[in-house]
Amino acid sequence: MTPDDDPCAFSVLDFKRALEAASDADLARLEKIAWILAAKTKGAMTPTDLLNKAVLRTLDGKRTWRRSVSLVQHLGGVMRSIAFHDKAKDPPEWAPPEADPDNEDAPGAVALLVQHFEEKNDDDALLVLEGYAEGKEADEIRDDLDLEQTRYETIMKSIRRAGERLGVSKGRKTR
Amino acid sequence: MTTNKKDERVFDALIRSAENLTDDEVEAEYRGDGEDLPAVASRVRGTLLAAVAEHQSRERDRIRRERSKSLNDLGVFRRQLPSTPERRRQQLRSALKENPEATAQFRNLDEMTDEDVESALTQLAFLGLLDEESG
Repeated sequence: MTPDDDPCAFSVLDFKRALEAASDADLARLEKIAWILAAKTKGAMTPTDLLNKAVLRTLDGKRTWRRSVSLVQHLGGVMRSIAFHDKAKDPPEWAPPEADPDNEDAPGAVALLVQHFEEKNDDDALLVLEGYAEGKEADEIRDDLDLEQTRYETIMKSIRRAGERLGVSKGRKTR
Repeated sequence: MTTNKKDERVFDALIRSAENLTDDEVEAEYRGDGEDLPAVASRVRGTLLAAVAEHQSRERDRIRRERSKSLNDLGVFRRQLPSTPERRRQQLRSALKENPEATAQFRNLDEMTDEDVESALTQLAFLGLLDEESG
């Protein structure tokens, strides 16, 4: 383990320094990740909630931050863990109309993405989504679907943007 | 494969897609949404700093609670001490005989003021070094 990998707790000062060092684009990427993951919570958490909780867990020492890991990767990882493993304690302040965090039968974000691309008759996006759901890697999906890199990137962008919009939806008010 | 596992894989791909955006692509996407990058960064920075402030406020509350509890505990011990200065000095002398390891700290018992004696007894009681028989 290198000194940079030493998993010590980050102090407030360390955190503020990392924040100062982050570029505008890094912070924007972080927001996009928060939007995507807010969609996963089916409206139980806003993007702001996720960012807030990720910082608190880091500073409380509940999540260690390896110094070799960037701010975006670290907070993105903590938000991912919160979105996938936390049960919301508070009632949602907002929720997409199709989603209900208390209803396990309500469609999840991936189901909503599939529905979105079915409505658009976008077969390529549906096949890429299916490939990832089956656990395939990007290279494998490109080969299976015989997609050029640029075409694949365009499809991924369109899926990601749909995911971001799902996460933002009414949560945009809280930004 | 469970739905949750499938969801995780799709979301991981979407997160990677966001992480791998170039700076120009990030800026272009926000510009397309009618927002400029410095304003976005300022918003996110504000959210993160608000969380830092929340953490600091919680820490201050925790320290305040702990200090209050410690002072309260000391007050309880102080109220259990003998009522007169002479009896307190006698109790400290007995306690020091029973706890020779503590005598170094209170070596000059005769030179100690009544307040020093009370403080020493409170500390010994707090540390659990004062029993009924010491009094």
